[in-house]
Amino acid sequence: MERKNSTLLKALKDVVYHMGGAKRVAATLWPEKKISSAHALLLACLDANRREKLGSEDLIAIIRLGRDAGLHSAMDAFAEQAGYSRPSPITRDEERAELERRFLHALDQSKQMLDQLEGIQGRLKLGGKDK
Amino acid sequence: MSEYQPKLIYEDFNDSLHDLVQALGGYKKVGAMLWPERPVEEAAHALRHCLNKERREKLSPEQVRLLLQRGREIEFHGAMSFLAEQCGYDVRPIKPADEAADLIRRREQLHAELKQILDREERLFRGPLQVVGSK
Repeated sequence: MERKNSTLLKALKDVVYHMGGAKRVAATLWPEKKISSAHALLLACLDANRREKLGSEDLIAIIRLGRDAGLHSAMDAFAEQAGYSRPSPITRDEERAELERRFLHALDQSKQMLDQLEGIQGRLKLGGKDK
Repeated sequence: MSEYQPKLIYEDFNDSLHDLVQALGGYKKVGAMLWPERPVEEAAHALRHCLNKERREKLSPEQVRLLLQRGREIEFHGAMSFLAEQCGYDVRPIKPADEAADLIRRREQLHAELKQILDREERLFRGPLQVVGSK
């Protein structure tokens, strides 16, 4: 499967190329590694015929680097091939607003669960008194 | 819609993929889908390793894409939403009918583009060059 379909790798390579090349991107991804080994590793990860693969965090980092530079081909490729609409980049403000919305939603759900739990405990107490 | 109840919050992308694997029927089923050539237990084991960040094994981008695609087919969008969000995007699933309409629209666009190219080619080769050639 990997060797036949390399559109995603090609899209990731495009981002890496436009971000200044594998050496520069590798140094951003893995600052703890020697530049030469990071460079070699990234080249291997972008080669469908090699065993090395990008970790999920590295994948996200490359797509994010592209997005921040206005290069959306990598995310576009993932979304299109997985059956999703063309992704629209969101601003930091929108991101924050979405996180706040989800935080409030999670709080609301947590409160609902607490209410349910109190209800169950109340019924258990009543059941105990009956005995 | 998938009957599996997705988690509210994911720790990382692997966590969202783990949730997706559960929604798709578990490690054995999904492992066998990713590596049909391997024995089921071995494939399930390999998939567990790939989603464990402490391990060296990783999924290829194409395997990640396949999981996301299967997720969309069962209307489980947690992993894709997480990926998009982490990368700073908003994505929406396309319904099969919309996808078909989109493919038709793109095919028509391609046809129109191809026709333009052919017309230009024809103009070029029927222009002065061809006249010179015919003399």
